[in-house]
Amino acid sequence: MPMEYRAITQVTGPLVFVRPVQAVAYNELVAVRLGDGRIKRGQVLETSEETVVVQLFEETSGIDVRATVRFLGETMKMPVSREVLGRVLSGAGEPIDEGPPIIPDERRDINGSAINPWARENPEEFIETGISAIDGMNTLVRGQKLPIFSGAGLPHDDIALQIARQANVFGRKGEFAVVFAGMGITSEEAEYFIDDFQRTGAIDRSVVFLNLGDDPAVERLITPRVALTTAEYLAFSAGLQVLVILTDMTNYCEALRQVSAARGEVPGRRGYPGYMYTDLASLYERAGRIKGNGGSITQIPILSMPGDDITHPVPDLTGYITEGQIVADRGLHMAGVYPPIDVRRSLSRQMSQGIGEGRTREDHKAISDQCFAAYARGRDLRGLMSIVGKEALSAKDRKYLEFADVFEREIISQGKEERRTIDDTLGRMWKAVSALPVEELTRIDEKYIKKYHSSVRAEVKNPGQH
Amino acid sequence: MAGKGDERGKITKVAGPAVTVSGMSPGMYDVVYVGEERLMGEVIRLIGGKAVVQVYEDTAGLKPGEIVAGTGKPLTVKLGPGLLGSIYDGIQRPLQVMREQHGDFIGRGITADAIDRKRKWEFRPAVKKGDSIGQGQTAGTVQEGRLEHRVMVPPGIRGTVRNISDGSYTTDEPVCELEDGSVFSMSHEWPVRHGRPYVRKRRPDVPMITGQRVIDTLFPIAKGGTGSIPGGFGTGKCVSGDTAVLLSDGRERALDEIFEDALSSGKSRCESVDRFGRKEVTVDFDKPLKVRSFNGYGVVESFAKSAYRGQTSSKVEITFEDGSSVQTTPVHRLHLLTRGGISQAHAWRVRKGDRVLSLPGEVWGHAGRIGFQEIGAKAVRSVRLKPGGTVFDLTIPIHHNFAGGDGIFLHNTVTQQQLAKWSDVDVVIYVGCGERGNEMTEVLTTFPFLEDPRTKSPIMGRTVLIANTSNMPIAAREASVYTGMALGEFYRDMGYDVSLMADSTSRWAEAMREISSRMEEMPGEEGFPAYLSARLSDFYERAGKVETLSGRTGSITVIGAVSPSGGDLSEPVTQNTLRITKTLWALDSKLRERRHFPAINWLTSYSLYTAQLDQWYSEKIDPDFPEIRRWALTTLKKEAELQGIVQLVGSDALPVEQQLLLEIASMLREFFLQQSAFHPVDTYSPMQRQFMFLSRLKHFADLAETAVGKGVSLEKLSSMSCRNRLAKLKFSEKMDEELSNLQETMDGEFAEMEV
Repeated sequence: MPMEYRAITQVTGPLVFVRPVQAVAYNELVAVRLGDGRIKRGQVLETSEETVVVQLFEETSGIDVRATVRFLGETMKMPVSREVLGRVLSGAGEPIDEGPPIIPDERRDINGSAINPWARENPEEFIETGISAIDGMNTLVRGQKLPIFSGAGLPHDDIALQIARQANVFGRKGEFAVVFAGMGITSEEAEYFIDDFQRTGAIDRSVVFLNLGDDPAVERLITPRVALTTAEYLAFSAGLQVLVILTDMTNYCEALRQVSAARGEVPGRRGYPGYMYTDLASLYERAGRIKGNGGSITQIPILSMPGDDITHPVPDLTGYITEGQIVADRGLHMAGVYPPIDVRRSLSRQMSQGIGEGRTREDHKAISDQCFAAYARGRDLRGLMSIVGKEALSAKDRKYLEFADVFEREIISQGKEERRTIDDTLGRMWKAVSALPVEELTRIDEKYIKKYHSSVRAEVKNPGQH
Repeated sequence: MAGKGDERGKITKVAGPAVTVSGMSPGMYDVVYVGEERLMGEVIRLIGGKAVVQVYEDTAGLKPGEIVAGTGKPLTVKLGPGLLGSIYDGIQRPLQVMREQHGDFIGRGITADAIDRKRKWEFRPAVKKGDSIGQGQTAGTVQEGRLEHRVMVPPGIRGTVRNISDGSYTTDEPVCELEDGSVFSMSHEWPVRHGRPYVRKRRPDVPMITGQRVIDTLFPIAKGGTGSIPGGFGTGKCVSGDTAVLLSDGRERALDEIFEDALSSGKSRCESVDRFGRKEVTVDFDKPLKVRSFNGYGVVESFAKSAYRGQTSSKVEITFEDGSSVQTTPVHRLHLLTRGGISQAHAWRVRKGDRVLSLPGEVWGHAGRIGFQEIGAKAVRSVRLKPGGTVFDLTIPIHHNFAGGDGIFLHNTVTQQQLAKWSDVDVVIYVGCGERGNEMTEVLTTFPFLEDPRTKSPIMGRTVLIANTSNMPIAAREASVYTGMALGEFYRDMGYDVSLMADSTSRWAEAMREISSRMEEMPGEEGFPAYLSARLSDFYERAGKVETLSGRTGSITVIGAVSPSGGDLSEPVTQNTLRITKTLWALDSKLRERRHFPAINWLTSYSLYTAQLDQWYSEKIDPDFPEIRRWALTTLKKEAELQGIVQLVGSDALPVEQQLLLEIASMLREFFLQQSAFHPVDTYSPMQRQFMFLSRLKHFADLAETAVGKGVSLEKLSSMSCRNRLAKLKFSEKMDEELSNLQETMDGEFAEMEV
């Protein structure tokens, strides 16, 4: 039976030191009852026969030595069920949407277990997000973890929402679920997400976990874990294609640093704890597919790079674990391009496995390589033009310059509600490329040029298509 | 079992993976089972009557007071027939079996037999009744796939054979009985952190043949040697002393002044000699010097850790259209704005008209962050080669460049990483240590389908894979390289050649760092434990060619991949590894972009084994081999020097002998060094063929030199049919035949031409 103690010996930051009467388990949950009857929750961080260190999920204000401590006799578990779809939960996994309580099928440890590497299936099925900059140039595949590296003030929320609304495994519709975990986001942002989910009906296949900016920082360490535990249930037990959006990972890492500092640990780079790589890996590696299991977890963590610095420990370590990244660019955003995705700095390591004949289309790799090369060249010429002037450029260079403009206007840019099929995206890419001299298309096999180039030209001649 | 093996203690404290235990007195590194779930752990510290245990699994739910069971022995691996073809985690749990028995996730406290205990093997004795035998001697053999598995007498057993007979046994059943009544089976256990005994180490004097021409011919590794593969290893990197450095507050200072200041106030200085015997000095700054760096898309504040002064034999002076100039070493890298994007080039490759990335004057003194749009480029007016002298540089972690020299970005290193996996060894151990799960899946799904180019049998049959992905317990990650090493030594002791690939040792070192910080040890450089260097050298020292206890010769070749975080090659793991390993294959992203494969840079790679391998090459391949290798390397080096001049004056201005040298060098690079992994013939090039190929090239070069001396034009040479045959040679099905005919054809054709 859980017992209550009045045995608090010390309080430091979010840590409460308790003298136990009986053995307390590591990571066990704790309820602290204050003098005025309020209850604060926490978790055992260190346990010995003499002292138990409890990390509270909330502020320690109001705690005094008369507060009583109750050990709940179990570690943090998440009740999982298909019924969570359509619900809004707190950062610790409790309903906050005034709906009925959730009757769990099962209660699972939130730390999960590592997928046996032998059980993993190679991620290679194309996910159609309807966003050309991703589908065409940095293709997302089922089971991949592809973060969005963004910065303060950039519309990463819109990009994430658009992916959540539109994502579909190519040719297999309607079995997608979205698990959304907000960590340290503002209530405005949270409302924006929920409103959008409700407005578009996406809420019915989504579950939202919210840890707001004024919620306890320590709870932020729990939020992605309850979300991923739910995702694992939905994916590998209920067989759904689950898309997990984690935002903002930078806030998560701040919380990790805060707790580490409170514990008096030796700080690593920029004060973040030395185990941050392993900690992040224990979250990101919960993406993937399993042999013989229909479900999958695809992760899109969002993180804002402090000072747009991609070498900051949070993006740097993230990049070492995830399979590429989508980079949002301030310059494009200022120029009014939505989504402001800089395809040059973005990368999807699983792309080549997810595209081509039978997945997207046979010419996908060739056309995207060509667009990439041409756009990179156009962008560089744009820099050059500002130095030497447009007149100094050759006619061919000007074509490339134009290509970069067209590429940003017709391919990267699209409406927030616009959902493009992969054929539409590839068609636009062909159309842009066909404005270049045909001998410049060195990355595309002759047979694709014959097959797709002319058809695009025919479309151009037909004004009705435009 | 008696004594320590039965010891029971109890938990007194749990903090993450570190569990304190009292009431028992285990030895250091003994394995214990912690708590009711029997989580596996290892004793990593003893304090008074207490022991600190590092648990390999998640410790949530453990309580003080729970029982801890000792085993009385350190972390061991099970050795016996059936290891080959297996896929293990870091503590030798078979992943395939665990999936069958326990499902898709690796839960807590689960175990499975490392080798199949039910499988029977046909045992054939190698000794008979009355023979006296001891540890390490071959008692018999079983056939393990293609390999003759030699069953060795386990440690601690010695005596006269009373009973041994052939038949079919499981790995646990006794196969031999001694006069004193003791018995042993085909399997035994071995502590992973201890090297297995051998009689003596031998000098590694046989190359590990990989079938890759650039490795086998130019930069060979010996069987029993060590090698490392870091990404795009940094090349020479310095600039002249009067180069201005843009400080983050907008001020400029000359580099030599900065160096002198640091020398007088700096906390530590390190003097050494470079590989040409010239003196170099590195001084650490008292406090980091704030400078500015280009981070790929903007200019940010960064800091320099140390300043460097050394000597160079030549310098390149680049003058820009705006009249400013900068002097650097020829191999210094500059950022160029090209049509393909921003690229880096050696200073000697910069040509008139190239655009070097720069900060325009108006933002030069701007103190804040400068975006990509504001960065400009300066056109090069002229490039001149100058005699060398003293050069300076700054060490800047992460960005490896600083704004200076009138606004251009000066660069020191780039990074990329890749892995090679061919070799003529009997057993391959691949340790995937802390890598991405999905990436490991790629290895696990492709390896079983790869074919050994020599035997045409699946590579998996001679391979053991150890997979410990980044989310699996770090303590097991730390142990994984030792597990791999112990398995390797087992096959070495049977008299086989083993290669061990560790990918990546950087992640292994990070695991060490994490455990060290959990134990609240005093951190050393960049938070790594002070014993990092000792651990790395201990590990690499287990490589070697040895005379085994059974009198055979076996070897382990260790190749470590290094992936420095933030791309910083000055970090301790890379630096310590380079100091220990004797072969370096520097992968070069520039070569990869130019589609030159394998992308191993022939100017920066090295092998310290060539001298001791020369005898083998002379005896087994050809007496001329060392000479021809020297010729090839010299030609390539000379080409690099000449290229600098060509960039300035054009190749037409060179004397005809030098033009010929450039032509021969390009043949060397394109025909010989480039090798296609996908072409059925070219993918694997036997040693004899490599030599024949290279000696034909040299023969061509010699004949061409004579011909040129007699006034034959280069155009005529390059249109010769024997030259074209050399070009296509490597793809020919009948290559050996063609090679032997070619010399005659060449002689004939040259004789004809000179008439």
